[in-house]
Amino acid sequence: MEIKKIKLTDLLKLDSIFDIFDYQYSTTEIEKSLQKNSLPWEITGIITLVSKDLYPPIPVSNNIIIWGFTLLRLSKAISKEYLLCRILGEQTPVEMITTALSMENRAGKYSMEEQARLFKLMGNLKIQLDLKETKKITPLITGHFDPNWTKRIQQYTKFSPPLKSLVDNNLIDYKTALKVQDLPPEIFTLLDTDKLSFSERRIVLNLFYEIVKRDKLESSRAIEEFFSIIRSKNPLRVAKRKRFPKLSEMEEEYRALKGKYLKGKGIEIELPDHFEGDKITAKFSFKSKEEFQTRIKELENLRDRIDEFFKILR
Amino acid sequence: MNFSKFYAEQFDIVYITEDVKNNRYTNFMKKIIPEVPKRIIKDKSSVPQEHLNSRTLLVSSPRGKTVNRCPGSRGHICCNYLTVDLYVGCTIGCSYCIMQSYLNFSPIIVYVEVESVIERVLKIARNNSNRQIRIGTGEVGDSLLYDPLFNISRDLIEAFAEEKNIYFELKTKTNFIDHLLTVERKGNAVIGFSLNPPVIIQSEEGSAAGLYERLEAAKRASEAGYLISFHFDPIFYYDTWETDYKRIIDSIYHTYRIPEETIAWISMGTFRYPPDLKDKLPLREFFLEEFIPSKDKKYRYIQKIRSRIYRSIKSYIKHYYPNLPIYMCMESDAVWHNVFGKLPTEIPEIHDIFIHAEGV
Repeated sequence: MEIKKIKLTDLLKLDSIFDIFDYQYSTTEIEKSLQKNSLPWEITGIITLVSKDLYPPIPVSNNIIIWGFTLLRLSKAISKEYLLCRILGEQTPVEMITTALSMENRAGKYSMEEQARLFKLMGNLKIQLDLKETKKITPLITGHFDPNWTKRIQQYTKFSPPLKSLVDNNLIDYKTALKVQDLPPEIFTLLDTDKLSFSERRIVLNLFYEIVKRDKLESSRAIEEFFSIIRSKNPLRVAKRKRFPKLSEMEEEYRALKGKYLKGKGIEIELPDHFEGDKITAKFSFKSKEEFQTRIKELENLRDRIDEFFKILR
Repeated sequence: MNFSKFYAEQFDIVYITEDVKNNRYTNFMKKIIPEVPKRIIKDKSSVPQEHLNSRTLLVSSPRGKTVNRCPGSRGHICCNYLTVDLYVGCTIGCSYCIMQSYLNFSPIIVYVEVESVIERVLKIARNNSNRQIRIGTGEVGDSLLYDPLFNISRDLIEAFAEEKNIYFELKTKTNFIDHLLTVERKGNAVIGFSLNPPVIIQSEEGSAAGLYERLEAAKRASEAGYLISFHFDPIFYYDTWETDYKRIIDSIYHTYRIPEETIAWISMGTFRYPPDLKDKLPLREFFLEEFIPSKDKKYRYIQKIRSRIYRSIKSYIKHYYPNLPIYMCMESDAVWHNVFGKLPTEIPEIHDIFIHAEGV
């Protein structure tokens, strides 16, 4: 292993198949910002370090640049003449991947898209992770040993582009995406909205998926149905009502009874949570003996109606 | 049925712990499947990781208590059943089975050291001579799926036969009962069959015996002098549930003519599941009904629906078998009141079933 100064023009001719990680600014963007003297502060700092040769040497093996593409872009933008490189001996594909991931040092922070590119690169390099290699490489990607990493990435690559986009932009979690992936892709385009929080979006999608499966909705009908949910004032409530029609009906019935018998009477009747149980609670308050007497009279009137509330539980 | 072939196809390897290598049930098993490789190991933890699955049979002796109370469910009434875990794990593969969510990475375990079990059960029965002791081996596995391979149940039935208060139940979804028909002293042994409509068995109960195979087995067992029990558990709620479950009861009475006096009890339990089961399985149609979380954190059908199901099935059973003990498994006080009008300890036919045994 030796450290060598290599001309930038020569470096740019080398193989760049390892250029798979996201970067914030392209060379053109940096060049434009340099002209306007409006570089983001974090880039200014790195440029200073690069110009003083204070950076980790770029690993190169077999004419392949293994890591350091951001440094290359910056150097190109500031017209640096050469870069320090560490020339590695013959490396196996797994060793090269390990080096790239170790130098990138972002375990647990790679986007799914980056992981998919990494997976594709592994395929191009004919790497098939066995248990030993999985134990070595996956902690560098996800932060822990993940025996299902390959399977997960393979599944992700099959997602439709709008679903991938939701996952990549952290609008839904991978687990939900996996569950609902066979929904028509149009549905995912309708979810790119601020109307729902992350958690609401996840719940709505899960509920909707179960509605589609239960009612065996065909694609066009599913899209129509989802449209009616997402365009409603309260998508979460509408989705719940459609997914749980019996419970919703019971809630309606309960609400109707309360409206019919309790409105303006100063008495509350509470049924147990989820209508599970056999105890009904009556609540009231009063400020005077007279008011107390009125409540008692109202309760007496309610006695003949109370079976209608019990009926919901039986 | 060629059991040698059946079991040889089920298992790739048998691990036997040192302490039971010469046990007679182990020897029985060796004769049934001579061609399946066998390895002697020090203890259960010596099974290599690559064999921690249901294609492996582990023969061992139990650790800890051999007789336990049914774990029950918080906030639900338990029938105080006692369990003996002889057969742990099951390869039938019911899609709704709770074991799918926690026994996936375990071999099928058979505990062949049964002398201590017999001793313990007899002691409990004698200390509770005024109570009915209901005990079974079907809590964490099927009681009869592997029994023809080890022939353990026969000895347990005979050992408990003289005790009038022991009701030893073998609960199954198979029809593997023929090896037990010749047992001479049966006492109060009960052969229990879990029942579901053919449409559910076909779609959800893996390699279990068909409904009519089970009912035929029930008939044979009943004619051989066994008590029979039926478990409508889990009951599923779907479009034609009412007709389908009623048809089973019709068959028991009309087609198989199983007499009331040979039926020890019938239990009912609607489908319920722990939250992680739904996450671990591909989405099954039965998950698409409406469920609510119960006090024990399991999901159950809405109380009103459960009550309706139980009332309907109960009244249909009572139509043919008016004096039969019928009870519900893991239900709340509220549902007991909705269905029976009272709690189980207030119902004479099932009062004894719900009384706690002491000293377990």
